[in-house]
Amino acid sequence: MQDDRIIELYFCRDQRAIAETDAKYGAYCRAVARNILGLPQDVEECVSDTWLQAWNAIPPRRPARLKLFLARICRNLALNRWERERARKRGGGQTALLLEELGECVAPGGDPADQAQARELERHIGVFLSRLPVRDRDLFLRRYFYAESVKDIAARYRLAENQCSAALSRTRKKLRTYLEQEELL
Amino acid sequence: MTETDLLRAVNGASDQQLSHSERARPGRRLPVLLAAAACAALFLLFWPRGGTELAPGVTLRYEDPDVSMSAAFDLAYFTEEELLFPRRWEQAVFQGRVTSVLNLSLDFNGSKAWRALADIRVSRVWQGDVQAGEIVSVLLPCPVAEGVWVEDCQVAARIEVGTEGIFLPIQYGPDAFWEQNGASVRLRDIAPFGLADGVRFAFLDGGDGLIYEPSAWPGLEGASSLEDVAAFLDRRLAVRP
Repeated sequence: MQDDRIIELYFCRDQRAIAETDAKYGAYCRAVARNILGLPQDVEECVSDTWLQAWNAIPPRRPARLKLFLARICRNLALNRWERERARKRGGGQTALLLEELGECVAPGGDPADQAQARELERHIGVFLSRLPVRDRDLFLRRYFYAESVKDIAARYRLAENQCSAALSRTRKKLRTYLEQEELL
Repeated sequence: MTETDLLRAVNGASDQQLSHSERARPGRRLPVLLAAAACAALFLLFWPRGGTELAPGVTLRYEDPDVSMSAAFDLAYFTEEELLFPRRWEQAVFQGRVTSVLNLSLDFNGSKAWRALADIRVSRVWQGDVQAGEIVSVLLPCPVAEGVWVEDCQVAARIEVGTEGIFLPIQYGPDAFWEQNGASVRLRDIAPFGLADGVRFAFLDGGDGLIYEPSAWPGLEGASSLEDVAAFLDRRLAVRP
């Protein structure tokens, strides 16, 4: 079913919206959640929560791209769940490694951002990404949005793994420089 | 800000950026546990050393050089014709603005060389596998830092973020290698393009005049702006020998 028809089901409060969303984007969202969480039951719960959030958000939201709208919700929910489960020393996925890598880009001992700071940081990340070579940006997003492994990213782009790692390292260095210049660190 | 904040903030990527990253088809996919193990192994291999092993015996680090470093090149002589139409390599010619400069070191079995990587947003192309609007990475023959002197790099050393210039870099092919101290690395693994030397293959808008090597470009006598260089290239590159 086309996205605009699925969205109309949400607007009509027709519960077939959830079934159609799951049919079309279930596998995609499960992949997003799995890369962050690892455990199948956590993945399924995360995806179910994603449909619930989408149901509550649409309307009034009318996403321009339903797939990416769902990916952002799913990713946020997965990161929330990962943080909770980390305290219980449960679960896997790529997240711990991603945080280790991004640790290069922040000052040690920083305070968590509040909601306004988080929104501002998202805006800055968008600006930073727009200034990257396209290939480097793609690699960065596959790693830090979709939480894919370096090996999988290298295979996707037909690169050697060390080439992929070098490109990610370069981009992290640029990100740190950008954050320093914007006085965000 | 914490690393978790940063990871969440990647949600700030636009739909267009995310869509583009989805265009490449996945290659062979490993089960999640194997992928995680592979990534962990990579982490242990690379991060404790503070660099990336690009090839056996060759480690790349993005870092600034020691202030006290200096180096020299031995420039081969080229006529203006040979600079425009090199026979030994494929050459791109484009104009653009520098958006980023990163210094780097390459360690070849303990022998360290310093370079820099400039990202350039291309605005005009005369030749090469590059398009206007694209951002490309160009390997510079020297690091860019105050207090660092490298002979025969007086043009490249003036490249900085915001510099507008016309560049004639080598377009690295699959067989372009850098060998040093018993190790070698494919240049394309570092960047798709690179300046052959630090004086003759770039023209920069210095703000108060044109920065280039006049002795290498007699056909540009009297040139004072990038527009003069562009007109010169329009004439010369239209007629290949």
